[in-house]
Amino acid sequence: MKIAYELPETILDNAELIRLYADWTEEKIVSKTGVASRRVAASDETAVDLAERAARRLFREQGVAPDSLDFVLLCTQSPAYRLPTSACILQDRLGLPTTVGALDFNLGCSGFIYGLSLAKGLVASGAAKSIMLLTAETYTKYIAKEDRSTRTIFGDGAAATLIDEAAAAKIGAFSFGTDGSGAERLIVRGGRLSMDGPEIFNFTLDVVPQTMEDVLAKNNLTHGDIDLYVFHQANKFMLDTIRKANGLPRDKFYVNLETTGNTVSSTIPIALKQLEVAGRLHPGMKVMLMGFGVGLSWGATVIMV
Amino acid sequence: MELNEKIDILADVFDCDAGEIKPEIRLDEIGWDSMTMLSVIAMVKTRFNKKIAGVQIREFKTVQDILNVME
Repeated sequence: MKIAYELPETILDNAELIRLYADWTEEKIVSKTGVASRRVAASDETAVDLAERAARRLFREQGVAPDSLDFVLLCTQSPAYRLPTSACILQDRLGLPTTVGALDFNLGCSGFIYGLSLAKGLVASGAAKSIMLLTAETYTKYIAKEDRSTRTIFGDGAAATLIDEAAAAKIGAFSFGTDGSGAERLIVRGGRLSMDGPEIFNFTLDVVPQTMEDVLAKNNLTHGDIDLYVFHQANKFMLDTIRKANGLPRDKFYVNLETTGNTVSSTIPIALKQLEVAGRLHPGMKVMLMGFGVGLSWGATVIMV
Repeated sequence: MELNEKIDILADVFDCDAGEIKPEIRLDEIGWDSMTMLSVIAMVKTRFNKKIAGVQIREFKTVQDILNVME
């Protein structure tokens, strides 16, 4: 699976945050959240701009020809406009053929998993052969300056992932879940994001174990078959708790939000790219991917490297 | 579990000396924020297999409120 990602230029580090939140220290923020710095989109920079940059990097670094694509999926909850569809704007900006299909879908932390399932479905049905899945968010635009619990965690970013027939063949079966009764737990209302951290945390501790078991069963696998667990990088504390509560080995459980923060739907592709760059992905490895959060929505799959 | 054991667990959660943790101490005196709330939820879930709801934990005022659910 070819992946590229892009982050905005502006860095918001913990030194700057503790000037606002006097009773916190830089060490405390990094030890709990795992985030030392995060990137923040400029006032005139949109999720579509970030998605465009990520796509251009995919073309440049991975040798993907724009005219080889026949479908674009954009996962975002911060579209440039209510209408038109941001994926349509990207078709033009990226110089993609007018024969491409393009659509946005609105999901957050589970979005990459759902995007993989849509892309796999398009390939399996014969509707498309080469899909670019874009994930792009600028949550920081929704966050009030004084909201320290979300401001420390979230960062902006975008990723572009190519799912062609070869990549689709390596995506396994999926497990999905939805519970709209938790809509209020993470919501943007009147332009402002509000998060019920304790309830999101409880939800995650509940759904992760059952989703792991479900996706393993659907793929006829056991934990022993999994080489790496790459879950949505929500925050370090939550990931550490999930890992310990489920007895997953530390060396197989990826945690890295240090310089990105929680980039919502892009955390999983960013993690996969980081693992590839670090030389930790080898052909034949089985990697469990899981996203969970706003919706409430969750999903998992197992991919083969 | 004895009270002193629970106090030791809480000292670890709040990253302070056990001597600072007393049942009547107000939580905001020992650092009660979004991060420590999550730590308490995780600790009670993993050590006592109990779930504290978001609305419930925001009502907590003193160390005693946490001790009450550490059963």
